[in-house]
Amino acid sequence: MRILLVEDYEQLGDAVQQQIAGDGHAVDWMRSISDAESCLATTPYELVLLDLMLPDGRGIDLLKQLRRKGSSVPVIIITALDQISDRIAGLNAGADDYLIKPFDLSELSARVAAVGRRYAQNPNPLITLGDLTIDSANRSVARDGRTIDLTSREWTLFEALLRRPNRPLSKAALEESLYAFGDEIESNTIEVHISRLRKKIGKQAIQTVRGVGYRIGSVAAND
Amino acid sequence: MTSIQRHLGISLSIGILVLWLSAAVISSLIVRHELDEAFDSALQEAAQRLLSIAALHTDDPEFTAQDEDSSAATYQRSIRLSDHAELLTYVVRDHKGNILLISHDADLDTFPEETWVGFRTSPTHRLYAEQATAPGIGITIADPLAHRREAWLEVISALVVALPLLILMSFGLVWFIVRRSMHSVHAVRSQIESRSGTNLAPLDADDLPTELSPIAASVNHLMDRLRRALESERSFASNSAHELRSPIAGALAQTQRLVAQLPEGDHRSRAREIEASLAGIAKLSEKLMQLARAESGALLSTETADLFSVIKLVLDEFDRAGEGAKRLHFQCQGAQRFMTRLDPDGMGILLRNVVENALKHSPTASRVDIVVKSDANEIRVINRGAVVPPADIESLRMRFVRGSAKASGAGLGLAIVEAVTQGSDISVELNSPATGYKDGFEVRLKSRSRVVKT
Repeated sequence: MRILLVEDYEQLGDAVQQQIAGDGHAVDWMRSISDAESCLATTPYELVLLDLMLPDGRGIDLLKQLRRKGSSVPVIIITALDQISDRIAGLNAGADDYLIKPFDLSELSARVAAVGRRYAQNPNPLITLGDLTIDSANRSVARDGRTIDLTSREWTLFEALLRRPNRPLSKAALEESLYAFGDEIESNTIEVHISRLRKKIGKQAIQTVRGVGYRIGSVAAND
Repeated sequence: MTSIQRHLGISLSIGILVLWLSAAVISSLIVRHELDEAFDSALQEAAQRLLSIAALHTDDPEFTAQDEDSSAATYQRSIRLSDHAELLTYVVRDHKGNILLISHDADLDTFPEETWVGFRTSPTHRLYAEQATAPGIGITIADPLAHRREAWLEVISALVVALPLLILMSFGLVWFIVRRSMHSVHAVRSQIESRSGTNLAPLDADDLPTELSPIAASVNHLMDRLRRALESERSFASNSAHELRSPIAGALAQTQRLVAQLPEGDHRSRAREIEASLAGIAKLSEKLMQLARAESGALLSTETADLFSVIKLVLDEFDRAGEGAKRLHFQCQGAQRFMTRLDPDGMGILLRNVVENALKHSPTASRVDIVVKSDANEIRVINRGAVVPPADIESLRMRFVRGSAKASGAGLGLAIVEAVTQGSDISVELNSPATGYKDGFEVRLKSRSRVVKT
């Protein structure tokens, strides 16, 4: 996923960026509301991690502004404001989740994945694709009970396709999911990752839509 | 407890009663003195007038004849004009002591025989004697003391008969005036009574009398200082929590990244220990800040509100954070409602601590029941586990006291619960074994706020 992190506290922002990037997501880290607004105006993010107390204003105002503009990008608030009233205000303003500092980075990863699933309209983390069993909560893929190892990039790419089954995803959109601002992207990176992914999960799992991009077939939620 | 109104009413009434009685006694003495003066004057005037008339008749043969005879039986009685009670009686004598004239009701025993001039008082009469040098006769006139006493008693009776009525009227008037005067005091008292940690609005001192205005001004000044001190304390507690959380979160997150990047070995183990310490510091600082906020009274509200949604939100957070996942069993008996005067943050801190405590001090994987009884306006949080001895139960409300030596935590959970509910409408009852069980522990939070039937 392409994720915007808005956090002004350096040590925390750095750790969160590393954690989320380590999960295979592309993270753009901004330290102020004005920078975040610029990013949101130009880039289609799939998730925003938003601190509430920022040097140039309140994160909740940015969230309200987003919702007023009709944006439905998922937002997880990460804040030191721990009161119920703050939480209620955040959720009422349109946040999808609320994480109070200090938090466990693995919990943050889980919340990010959960919000991603909710927006893919498949809140169940266990799904099947052909003979593949996918656990998006644990980021694992198995065939006939045997786990298939995926790198974080491969997983992110696969997850981006899983969020839109039966719909083609352009190469540019996949690049958006994989790379943040400043990352060097080679022209054939997506093709390379797709090729490696096909080798691991099977050629038929990912179809090429000529002139458009890639897509996967129907997925089913497991009980 | 003394009442100024009662004290003033009784004191003023007794004071007026004593003054009335003193005034009545003094008045009666003055009246008696004045009556005596008036009667004496009348007595003297009557004696002098009668003596003048008697002197004119000294040449009368009857007077002379009697003088010659000098027999006590031959003196002349004055003319009886009609039947009447004679208050003044007199005797006219010559210089030898012979009686020349005597009033018809006169009793000779009343009149001494010696010659004298002026007033005298016998046991029964007030007497006055006067002498005429020429032709040598004298008169003694007597006024019965009973007559004077009767006149004085009539005056006193008039005073005494009116006194109870006047006293009663005075009491009523005093009570009414005191009550009216105390109206402003009562108004100030009720205004001060309505003030509390959550209501420090200034007193309305516009229409107060000059005696009470300085008191109201001082109270307002004091409350203003108190409000600023409380706001400062609350703001400090809130801001401290915020300022502490970010650096702790940064340190913890960086340590977790370090743990993730280090290979298994000593360094990773140490990094994990640092991570655990930081997590402990984060938890302890959170608890201390909650305690500080609770003790500053910042978690009380002035209005009763339905905080059932907060209960659900807190339990939802436990669920989402994976804390006690599948161990928490929520049940609501009756309408979804919990009325209290705690503010939502106070309710959140209260329930979170009780549930955390139940999860921490019960066997792993055992269930924790959260039961809301709307009609009784109470929440019960029940966990399984060994029975806590009765002697230890109350000590759990104290700070840094752990229910079990094996359990982790700062020992602040129930102390925070105690501090949050202090001064609120919620009472905390601790039971072990839990009600209806043979073991376990139960925290019962009962709100005194009235449940509005809908």
